[in-house]
Amino acid sequence: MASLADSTLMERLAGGDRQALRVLYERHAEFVHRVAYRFLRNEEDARDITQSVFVTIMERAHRWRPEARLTTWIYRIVVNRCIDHRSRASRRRRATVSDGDLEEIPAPEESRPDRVVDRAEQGARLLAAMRELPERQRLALILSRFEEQSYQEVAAALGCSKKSVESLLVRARRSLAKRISRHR
Amino acid sequence: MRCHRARRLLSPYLDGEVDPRRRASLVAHLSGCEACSAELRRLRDQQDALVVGDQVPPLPPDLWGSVLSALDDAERLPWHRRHRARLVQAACVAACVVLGFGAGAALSWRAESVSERVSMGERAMIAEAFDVTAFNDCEVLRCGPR
Repeated sequence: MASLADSTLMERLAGGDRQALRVLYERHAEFVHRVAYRFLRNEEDARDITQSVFVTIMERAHRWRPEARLTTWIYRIVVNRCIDHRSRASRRRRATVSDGDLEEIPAPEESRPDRVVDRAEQGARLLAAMRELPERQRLALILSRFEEQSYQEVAAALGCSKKSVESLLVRARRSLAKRISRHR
Repeated sequence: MRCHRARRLLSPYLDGEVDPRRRASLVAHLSGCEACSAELRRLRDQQDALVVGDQVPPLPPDLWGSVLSALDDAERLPWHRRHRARLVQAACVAACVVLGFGAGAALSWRAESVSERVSMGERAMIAEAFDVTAFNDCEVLRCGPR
């Protein structure tokens, strides 16, 4: 079964074949988990999202149409799950700030040692700054930069136009640059 | 190409998403504009640093087992709980339709009852107060008592 095409596996899945889901899981779980982790930066949440995405794939297999690329359809499910998870979490956290969040907040400028920032440190700061970006900008950046998806594919996953993706990415990169220069 | 336009193209240029015609004019601009070239270098550095700092944990080995358990749990749920979201959506639509009809019926009933309550004597008084010779029930409803 491992050699079957995604479309054949999806047909079998629509008929309730869990073995087909197992093969799809082996093919696609890595990227689902990667995107969820990069969006949420939390292992437990990434695990929950990945699990929920594969349950959704099983439940909605009959809705998938072979004209659409399966990975794009899955990206779309991941994106929606991430956004749902994020809005539920932000509703829960509205009243409190957790210790994890406090670690993320950069130290005040005057208490920071005046030193040259090396690349790894700059990377860590950028990733922290990325968490503050609006959801769609962050997702566009994850899919385009880390998953190396084309603008067309990102647009399909986010449900918007190619032009909007270009604009989301321009704004995301400008915001990151601003945040980094502010904390320097 | 002006700097403003070139700056907007730097991000898609880094992603290889600029068509050949625009790319040619961007490259021509960059070769003569130190500020835009510096901005491109800064963006490229930022992109590289972003990837350097990125570490993703491996896929948990027991996750497939959790997927199966979650599927079993979902299948054990009774029909109405599995489709709760769809049922709530349908209930909301039905409630809106019923409320819409209800509000329409109530308004038309009120118009009729006002019309019945306004006696001929009152009609004459209202006509005099508003300085009109004739009016219909809709006007009474719109104006209300003074």
